[in-house]
Amino acid sequence: MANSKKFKARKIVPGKATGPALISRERLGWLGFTDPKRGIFSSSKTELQGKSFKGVVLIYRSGKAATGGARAISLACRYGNRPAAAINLEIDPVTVAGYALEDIPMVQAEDASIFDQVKNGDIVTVDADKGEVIVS
Amino acid sequence: MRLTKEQQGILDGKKGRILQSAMIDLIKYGTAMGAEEFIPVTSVHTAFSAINVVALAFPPRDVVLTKKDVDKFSEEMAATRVKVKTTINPGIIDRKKWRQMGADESTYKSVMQTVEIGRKCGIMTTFSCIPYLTDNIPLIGDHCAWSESSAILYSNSFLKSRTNRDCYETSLYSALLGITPNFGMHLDENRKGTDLVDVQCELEYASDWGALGYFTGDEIGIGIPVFKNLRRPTGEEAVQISGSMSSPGGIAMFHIVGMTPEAPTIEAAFGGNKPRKTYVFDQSAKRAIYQYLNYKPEGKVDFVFLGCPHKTLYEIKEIARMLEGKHVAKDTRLWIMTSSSFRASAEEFGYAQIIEDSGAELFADGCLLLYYINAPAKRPKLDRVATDGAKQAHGVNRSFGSNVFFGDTERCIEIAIKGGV
Repeated sequence: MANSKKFKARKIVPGKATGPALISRERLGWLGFTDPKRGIFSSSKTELQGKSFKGVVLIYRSGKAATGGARAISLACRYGNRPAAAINLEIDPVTVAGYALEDIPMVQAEDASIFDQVKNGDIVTVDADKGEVIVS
Repeated sequence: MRLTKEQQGILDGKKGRILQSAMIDLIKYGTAMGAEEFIPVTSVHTAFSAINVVALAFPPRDVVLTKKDVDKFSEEMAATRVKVKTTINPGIIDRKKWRQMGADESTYKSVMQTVEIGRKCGIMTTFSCIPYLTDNIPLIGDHCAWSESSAILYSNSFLKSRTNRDCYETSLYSALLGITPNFGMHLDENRKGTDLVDVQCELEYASDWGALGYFTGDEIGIGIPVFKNLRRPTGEEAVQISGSMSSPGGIAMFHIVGMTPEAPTIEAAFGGNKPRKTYVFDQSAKRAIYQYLNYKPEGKVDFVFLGCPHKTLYEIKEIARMLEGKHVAKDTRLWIMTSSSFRASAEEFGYAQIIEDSGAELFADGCLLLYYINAPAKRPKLDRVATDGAKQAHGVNRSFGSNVFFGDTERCIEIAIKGGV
């Protein structure tokens, strides 16, 4: 596509998936900040409160907080609310484990310019195996 | 990842479904984090408070587990043994005084069913977030697989034992297999400082250390802070800074120059790294954290909570001293939470009796947040809360919208006696 943009990224969890972008420049925890059953960010302490994470490509700074976070990702998948893929700027093992155990493709962005180059709702493909993020 | 013959055999299913699944997922975790091999661990700290939740770490995946799934898993789990010393994080209720907490019998029964499965597996059902002071004390250089964000910070920073921020699932796999992927905090090169925190104010109370930890976690997010101009903490202050630093970010370790074992000098702490940034914690930064963690505290207080992280035996002794001959206000409840090992000692030494005589309640095994999220009908009101734990102040407001007073232990006890701020 003429207008598509491509970024290099580092593979964290293998796989390839496409979905609309949901972006936060913040660090996001899964435990206590999300409602896995409803598939939304539920905490008033995140700017994504009320937004659905089902089927989206989550682009955010990093994971944070409780080591129970991976469990919330597993629950979300069990309730049919699996996110498509994740792009982080910084890497937190708890968060990586959550995505890795559920086979949700994840990459590390090269720098913060991704936040300026992608808008909420843009259709994004994360190809972790090729180390690429494509915005169409 | 390179596997030994034994590990390959487990992956091929020669030791059954549970170990095979643990191996598959531990490989996924290690591969994602760039590990090339596994290393043996000497200890694990994980979560094991409700068997239907533990079951989520194993197949079938992508479906909501039925009672049949959980029953099958319970049987398989009870027939499996952990390979290394394994302790567990706080659960929902106090297994001795659950009625006094207001929990119902069905919650109690399900917790005790899980405790029994844990016992058969060889897991020590310690239900505490300060294993490093009681039941699971690593030696210098020990490789561990721990979850519980505050305990990870304490053990890497103060004990020089090595653990990543492992989640409940992967730490349980490590307990069953006796190994962890070799990456991150297990390797010398990843234990060097990344950011400098210059402390330019006095830290008077343990809660000030909580405030410093919260400030640091919030500012740095992910990295290894190096504190300069920071005095030696007491044991209890060390628990508070580790507890609070974990909530706003993903820090696994910090250095205090001239104090923690990997930071004899500032040069050693950074190990050749150039600090990415310098942060200043001064009087105004401290005040800002107290303002942030105090959510409209005024008037009457329903509930005073001391014990996030769990209180040490010394803190319980001090609390008993403060409460001796006094009485908690009629409409206020004061809960003190600790590990069952420390509670047993507190009973033995007479502190528990003094605390109970004042109308305060000394509990073990539980985590207030877990209790509130998972349990009961007859729970105390949480509209207006006072606490001396920064992690709790943050959590209780975030999860329940409570008005919160956050301050030092003595002030919290005054509030409990007076019934308000």
